Amino acid sequence: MKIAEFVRRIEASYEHVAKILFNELKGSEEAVLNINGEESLFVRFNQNKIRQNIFVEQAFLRLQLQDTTRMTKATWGLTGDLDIDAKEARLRLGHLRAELAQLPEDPHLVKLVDHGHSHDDKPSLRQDEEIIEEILRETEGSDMAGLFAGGPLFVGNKNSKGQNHWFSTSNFFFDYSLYYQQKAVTGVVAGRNWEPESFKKKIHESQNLLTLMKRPVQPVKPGKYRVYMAPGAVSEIASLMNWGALSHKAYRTGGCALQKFVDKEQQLSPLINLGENFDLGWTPRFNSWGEVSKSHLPLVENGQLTQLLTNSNSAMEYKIQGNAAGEYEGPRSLEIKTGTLENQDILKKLDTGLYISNLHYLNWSDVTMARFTGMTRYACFWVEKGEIIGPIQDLRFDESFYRCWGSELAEITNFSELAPGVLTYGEREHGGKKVPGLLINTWNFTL
Amino acid sequence: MTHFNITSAVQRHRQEADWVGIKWISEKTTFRAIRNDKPEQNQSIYDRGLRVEVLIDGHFGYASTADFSPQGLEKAFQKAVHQTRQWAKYKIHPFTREQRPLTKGNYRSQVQKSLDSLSVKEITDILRDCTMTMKTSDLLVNRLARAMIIETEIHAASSDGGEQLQSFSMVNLELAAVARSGSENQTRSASFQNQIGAEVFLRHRLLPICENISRQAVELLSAENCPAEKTKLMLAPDQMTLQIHESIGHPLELDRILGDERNYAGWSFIQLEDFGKLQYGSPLMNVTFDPTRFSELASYSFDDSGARATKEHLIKDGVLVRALGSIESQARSGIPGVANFRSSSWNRPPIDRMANINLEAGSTNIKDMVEGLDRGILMQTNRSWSIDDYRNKFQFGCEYAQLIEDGKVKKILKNPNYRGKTLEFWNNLISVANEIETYGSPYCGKGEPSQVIRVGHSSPYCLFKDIDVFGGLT
Repeated sequence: MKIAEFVRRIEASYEHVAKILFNELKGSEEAVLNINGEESLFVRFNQNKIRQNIFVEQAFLRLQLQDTTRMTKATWGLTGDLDIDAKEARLRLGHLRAELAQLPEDPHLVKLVDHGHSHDDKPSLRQDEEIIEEILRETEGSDMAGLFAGGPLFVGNKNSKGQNHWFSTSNFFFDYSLYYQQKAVTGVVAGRNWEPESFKKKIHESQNLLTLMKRPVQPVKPGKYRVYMAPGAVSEIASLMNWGALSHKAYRTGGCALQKFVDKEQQLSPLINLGENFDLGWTPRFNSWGEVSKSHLPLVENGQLTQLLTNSNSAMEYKIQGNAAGEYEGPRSLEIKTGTLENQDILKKLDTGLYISNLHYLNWSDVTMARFTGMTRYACFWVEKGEIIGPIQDLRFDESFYRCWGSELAEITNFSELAPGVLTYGEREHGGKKVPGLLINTWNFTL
Repeated sequence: MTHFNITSAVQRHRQEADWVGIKWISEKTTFRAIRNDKPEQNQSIYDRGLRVEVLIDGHFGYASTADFSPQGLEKAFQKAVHQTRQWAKYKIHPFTREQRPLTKGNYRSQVQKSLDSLSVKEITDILRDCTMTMKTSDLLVNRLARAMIIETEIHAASSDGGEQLQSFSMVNLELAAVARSGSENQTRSASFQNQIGAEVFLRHRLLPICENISRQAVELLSAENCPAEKTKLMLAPDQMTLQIHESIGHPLELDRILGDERNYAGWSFIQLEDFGKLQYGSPLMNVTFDPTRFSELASYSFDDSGARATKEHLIKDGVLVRALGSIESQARSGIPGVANFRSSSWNRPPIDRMANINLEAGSTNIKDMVEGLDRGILMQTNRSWSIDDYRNKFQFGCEYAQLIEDGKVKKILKNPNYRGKTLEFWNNLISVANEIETYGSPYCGKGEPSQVIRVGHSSPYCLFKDIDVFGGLT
């Protein structure tokens, strides 16, 4: 297939460069190679028109060079030309070798071992260019803003001990908002294969939801309210787990917002069960050391901490067992387990309060007490006696995990939704989440 | 320098569209970090690629590659031309060559010592001295010194003969100390972001700062929580940088106002008809877009459209007068803007960004500002930030605060936060100091596809009235 031509060319160059680099190691030198690449089409929409389109081919190779006491890294782009890439690789190896001699010893250096082989290739027959016109046709008449991103992407890892992992897929997402004046609903369509009927269904659901946003805005003053957090909102809350909350290193260095939970000074609800689930298939199980995580890694079970995410560096530094976590010890494929609340009972059990579909711009406001602030966004409604009355003006909140995932957590839905990663900083995000909705007794809105 | 002749490459492909351009970017970013006197990070990233740009039927489209061979360039142009021609009928605005002004020129960061004048060992030793200096108490569990050293070369050329060469030398230096007592942690940090050379690595400048922040982190452990009250709030320049960034910079971005960003970072409470009329803040408020300021992180001579960058007032005497809008957004809106069409790198298209957004100095001496306070709180150094998607309701937190009563500092306060609404807040500005400090960030996120870009902010100490402040939970 033509679409895989870039991937094949880069993969060949990667193999060629790896052979050269590993052959040229001297004495006690060891090396790890990590490659990330993609061929991407990005199309940005506003007012149901195309604002910008860009086609990107990129592949970055990172060489980690170490001896028995020191380590350093360099990253550079691969072009796909064997000679150019080999020349650049030799240049970088020489620079790293010279640098290694100047560095202080690292007592937490992770010794390299062979963590085995894996090969996971998920091809697709999708033609992204054809999808763009379909998107514009289906959203015609709507005030739509959003981004389509699609194409093949790949991750590889090798080390000089013989380890070799490869993960490639070809996926897409269309992340969109439909606006009515200054009110909006949002949605994401994502996958490996484009399914026109499910896409149309999703857009029509969003358009129907938007009609609810045309009702008069309900005046809701700051205060404490009973809330239902739909999976879209829970996904935003769960994103805070990537900011050190489940990291062993953060726990040791003062950046872990769940430290009081880890220290058993504060509790989470026994309804909370969460962990890594790599069976979601969005991201490789291997990390940048080539270590392969368990496909299911429980972190919190029945409200009790099972383990923090611990990578090999932390394991060396703190002399504990690691669990193949990534460099930043954040969840890569987080799943929050479902509960018992049925979809048709959500409004009835919410009774009077707020239905929150999405949140925006969350940040820790008091790390010691696991307190965070943020805003409501998109389709959020005032509900009275189990009936949606109308949309609200967006509200700011300030809450603690020890309340909303602790004492105030009433029920968890018996269904969950996939939330694919849609960030594209430098490269398309690999991971994602699977989260349910939460019914919470009181939630503190402040502004 | 470029590994191929960019001007001849542009000329080879000039017939393929109504206008073509190539932007070649080469950037080396080196991270050096020491934590608790041990190596934490040593990594260099060599990022090199090019972006081709075509104008076809009034629509600009792009393709990016790291393959500089004739075949690589040919493929990039084929993709850009094919996709742009295919989708021009769906364009948001009929652009013309006027949106790519023909300019020629150079820019180079002004530095005293080149970044490669210090060896890896010399930089590492200085960073290690920093963390060792922070070791002032056994309560300190984390002591970090990190340098991000950036060297960038940008070469742009266009089919009508425009050509710009710009080179940048930048350092982002972070120092942080974390103290722990039981399960409470308190952090104090300091950071510097400048276009600068190796002269930033001065022990006599850095080590006293390291000692100071480590002592303050420990002091915070035994401090009282910031009280919850409506009071006068004095913000130090290292917090003003965040306040300016979030509640002035982003809402004034014209592409946000035009709706481009609505699916990601959000819209803006500013309307097109507000320019020239809206009383954004008190008459003490003068805010400029200034890409000409020496040493500030986002100084440059040309943006990605080729437009020449000049200093402009955005808010004058409190009135909103100009948008942070690029030449494309100006064409779409009819609103005056600035040269801020910027991309994070070769693999992303340019969008409207902040550059250096500065609050100009006022006339009050800082000592007089403090002595004139009957009661108020001084907050320093951002640690938490959140604002809504229209850039209105915000809540920000700081690392360190002091209670001021009867013109004197009475005690230290921990976990200080404040919240408010943008226009109310800036209209409550009652005093602006007469000395400026410069900060910035290498990590401003925006756009679809997402991009981080470097911004600079200069500000004096400022005093606001009637602000809701509060502390941590007990």
